[in-house]
Amino acid sequence: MKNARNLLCILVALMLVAGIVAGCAPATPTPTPTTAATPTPDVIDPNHPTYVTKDKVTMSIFMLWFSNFAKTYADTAGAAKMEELTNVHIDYTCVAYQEFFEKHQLLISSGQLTDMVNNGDDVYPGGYTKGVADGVFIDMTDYVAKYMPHYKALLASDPQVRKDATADDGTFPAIFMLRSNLMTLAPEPAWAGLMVRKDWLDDLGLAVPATIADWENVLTQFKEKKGADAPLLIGKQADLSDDSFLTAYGVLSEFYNAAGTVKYGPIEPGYKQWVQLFHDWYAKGLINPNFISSQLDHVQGDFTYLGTGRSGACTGIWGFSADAIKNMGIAQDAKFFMQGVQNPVLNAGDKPQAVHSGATIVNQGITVAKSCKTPEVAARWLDFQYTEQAMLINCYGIEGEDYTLGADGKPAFTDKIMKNAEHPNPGDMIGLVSRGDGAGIVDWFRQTLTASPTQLEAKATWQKDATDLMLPAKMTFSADEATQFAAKYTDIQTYVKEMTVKFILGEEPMANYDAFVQAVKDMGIQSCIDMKQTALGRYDAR
Amino acid sequence: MRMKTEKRPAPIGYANAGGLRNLPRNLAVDLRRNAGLYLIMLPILLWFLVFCYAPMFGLGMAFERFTPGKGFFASPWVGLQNFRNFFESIYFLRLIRNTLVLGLLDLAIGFPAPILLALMLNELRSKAFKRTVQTISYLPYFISTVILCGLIVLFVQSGGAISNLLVGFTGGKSVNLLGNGDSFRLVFVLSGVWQFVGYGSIIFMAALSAIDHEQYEAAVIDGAGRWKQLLHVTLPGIMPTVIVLLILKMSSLLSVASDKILLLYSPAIYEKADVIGTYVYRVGIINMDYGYSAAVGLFNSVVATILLLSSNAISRRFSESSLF
Amino acid sequence: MIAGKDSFSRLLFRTVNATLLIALGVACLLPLLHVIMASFSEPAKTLAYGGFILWPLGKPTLNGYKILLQYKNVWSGYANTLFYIVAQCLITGTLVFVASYVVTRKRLRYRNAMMAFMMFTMLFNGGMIPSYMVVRYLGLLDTYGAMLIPSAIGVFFIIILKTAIQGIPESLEESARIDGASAFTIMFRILLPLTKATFAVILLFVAVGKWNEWFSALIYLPTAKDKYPLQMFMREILIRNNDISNPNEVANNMQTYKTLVKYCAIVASTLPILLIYPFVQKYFVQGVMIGSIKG
Repeated sequence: MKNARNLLCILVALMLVAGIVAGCAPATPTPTPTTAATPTPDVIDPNHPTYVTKDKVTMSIFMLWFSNFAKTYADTAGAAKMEELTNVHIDYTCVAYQEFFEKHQLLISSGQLTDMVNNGDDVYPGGYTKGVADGVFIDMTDYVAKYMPHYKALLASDPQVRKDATADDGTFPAIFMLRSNLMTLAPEPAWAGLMVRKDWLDDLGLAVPATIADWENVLTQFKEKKGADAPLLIGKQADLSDDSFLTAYGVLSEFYNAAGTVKYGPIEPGYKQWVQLFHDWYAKGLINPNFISSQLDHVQGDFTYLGTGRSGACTGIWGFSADAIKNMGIAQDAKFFMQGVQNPVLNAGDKPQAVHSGATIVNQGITVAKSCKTPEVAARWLDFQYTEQAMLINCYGIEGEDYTLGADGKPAFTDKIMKNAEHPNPGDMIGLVSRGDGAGIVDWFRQTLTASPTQLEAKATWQKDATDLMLPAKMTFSADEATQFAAKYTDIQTYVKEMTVKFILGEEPMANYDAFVQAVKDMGIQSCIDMKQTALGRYDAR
Repeated sequence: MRMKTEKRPAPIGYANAGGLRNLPRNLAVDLRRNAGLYLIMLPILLWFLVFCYAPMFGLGMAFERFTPGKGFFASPWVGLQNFRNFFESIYFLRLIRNTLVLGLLDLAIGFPAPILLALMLNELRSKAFKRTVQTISYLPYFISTVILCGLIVLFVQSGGAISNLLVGFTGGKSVNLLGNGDSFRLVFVLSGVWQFVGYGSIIFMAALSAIDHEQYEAAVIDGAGRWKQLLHVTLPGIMPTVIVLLILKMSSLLSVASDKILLLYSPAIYEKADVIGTYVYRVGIINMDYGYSAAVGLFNSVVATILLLSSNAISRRFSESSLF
Repeated sequence: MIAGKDSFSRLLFRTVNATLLIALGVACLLPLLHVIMASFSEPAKTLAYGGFILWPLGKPTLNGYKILLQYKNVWSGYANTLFYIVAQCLITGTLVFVASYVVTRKRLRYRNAMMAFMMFTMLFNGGMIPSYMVVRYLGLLDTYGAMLIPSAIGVFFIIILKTAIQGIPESLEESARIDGASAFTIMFRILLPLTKATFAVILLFVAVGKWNEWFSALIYLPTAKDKYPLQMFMREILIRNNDISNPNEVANNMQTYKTLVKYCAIVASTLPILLIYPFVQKYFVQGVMIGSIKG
């Protein structure tokens, strides 16, 4: 899910940006070949400056990093500190999310790779195992065993993480970024979910809706008593964000996990019930009448509708929960408050199921190029990124300057970050002093330092949803399977999306629903399900 | 006006038949006779060779299961598999049909619009008014597609100004014009006209200004009114430009603005709005298949070539202008 | 001309014509007005407002422009873009003119073959990666040349200019040749003046294209930030400001500030190029001096 979302974000953002102005990128140094100093990785002492290598080594890395205020990560104090600690000089090639795909494509296809490559959201076509088989990357399995004690220990500490980090064939083709909460591996809490106008609920004396029936009542009252002409905002394709309501019927909009068996939502009875529900809601005016022209984003509901009281519920990103939209000045209502709520269920007491959930490993596999002359040093350097010392540099900057450690060991940003005159937005400053995503551990505790408690509450609420329906994000296809799957599934997906929206709009009578299911079956959905099932089997066997 | 060239016997020195067999000899003669011309053309031809032809090895990707790591020369060869995947899609015909319909609509409305605008501007007497309208009409070209589409949606969704206006004419309920395939097509094409009409008319303004004033004077002496002047002087004067641009436009019949469609369409109107470009974009999201996109691109190029050659041939047959 | 001469139908035509053109003018002015006004509006009001903005919403503000000017790179971007435009106009103008001259010489037996050779590249191209590899191989990466040489020639321009040259009566050239004019004289004393409107349009298109270009900078200038054109910096600003993929970085008031900067960036990066069209218009003078050249 998160993968799909990030890919979408990149693509959508690329389009947005390409369209808005035609315009550019941060500096990305051309890959420089490694200066071949022969490393003598004999001394292994975490406190010694030559922890990674005794003789200074220069390596290059391609990574995601962007700040408007610095050219590359190399300009930061953190990068200097890292060099001091590891004795490895890094030539950083930094690219922004929005241009990552093209730059990565150029990097790989033009055959001049950096020593280490951050592959963002698994963008090597066919996956990392294929990258190794293609002779582009080094198989890191032996290096992990020999030179990466910290990484190994972290994987051993969490069976789920070990599974996610391991390829189907048991190797480690890539080293993954891990998420932690103050150095304890932990998935990042859910980042998106349903939100509802709490102030309206209070006005109307309604409880937070839990069941589908509650929701219908809430939306109806929003419409009738609050004058909302689009009580519930749903996405352009009635997809992704609207899976929240699908979960009540025990299915998802695409492939999902039914107790170990892969199923495809649209051919299951639950999907039909959901389509019927949205069809009815649309007819009753409970859904945004212009949902097919939703513009903003696949996940975040439109501010215009929310701020002006035309809508009272949507799916949203946690940053926009609580009173954020009011604070932005869009909503004029002094009481405006969007509360994160758990996904709906059919019968009171059922367990809500999540659609957006965080994981400890989601993306950002770092690979070592075959052309790298010092893979041991790369492995040692990467391993160092999984220490607490490195985590603090990567996520918080320099101690004393950018952050301080409290008595409880929790970091807190200094005023330089939180109250900077030049960059009043702490996000800009954090982006300027820290590296963030990439090799090593990324501590999501950091988010809690800038977010309001009410925003965090939304996250915590969504996090309560069970994740039974979700398939593991890290289950993978082989390159051949991926091609076969795409060839078949593209058409099915097009058909399903098209028909779903038509049923909801009432352009296709519900009476034709069974014919629709049969058509999906005739198009060969079973073979797609089988492929997913096989992939799941391989994942479980890791 | 370009004179129609008559068939003449080959000049002295050249072989009479122009076939491939005589190419070396004819080329040698031509090179000798026009050494100067070839010399100044040489850097230009070299530029094409280096910057356009050299990178064409990339076309091979269409026949490969392209693997970035292996590069262009070592990726596994899959022959026509990528093409087959595209042709065998159950949506292939629908995609071609939708692309063609939008392309043809744009040809029928979007192509003549700038010409009409240029002619209308040409009829204006006030220079200041003419220049002002000219400058203003080219403004929308500079506003990004994303912002334009945002505005379009605002206006044509249910409750939007244009939708409401339509209700005034036709009665009934204000509907989202993007929710219906047919009205989507109109919105798409007309908004395209709005965006490009001014910029597109510039070239015709230039063509209009190149018409010899003496021709108008002669026409006036012959007693021709404005209408006759338009028919017998103005239109023939810009005809070569119109025909050349028309031929080029024909060749881009399949390249409709898919970035704009992506911002305006929805699954509800895939039936009419899903085109080759948008489909390939969606395939790209599921699987980064470079070979597949390359194959579709190559297919588009081949179709464009056929369209270009045939419209050029038609134009040669029926008018005095053509590309080559 | 005197209005009194007009017949009733002529008057009717002129009225309808002017009205339609005014309507078009209004329709075309609206989106730009929307963007300009949004750049002075309170951003929150902009986000909440559903329609064309025809006057600044809320209290007019210059904050967006102030923020924009904090990006010092913007100025070097303007300078670079200006340089690229001038250089590209010179290079492309010359090459296109030469190419069009050559392919319109009737005595050249293979002129159509050359035309086909060039036009083929309009239809088929190898794609981004191979082009990048060629540019890299030539050592052009991170040089000014990378921004100018790969885009040196436009086939479309050659076609346009060729058509214009073909529109010049052959008799004109022939009589000049009989008078002993050299090829050089014919090019610069006859062809250039007679096609100057078309030539001006080509230069306008080159300039506008160059002004909007960013993609070649993105891939051909991997590190040379000092050579970035304006649009690269504008895009950088927008990238940062569109980063919805990082909700933890989206502080509460950020979205609004981003909206404002976005509109300001569009104004700052669009207005200058809008201003050059009026200068091109003066070349569109009806009835060029064919007569005078003849005389």
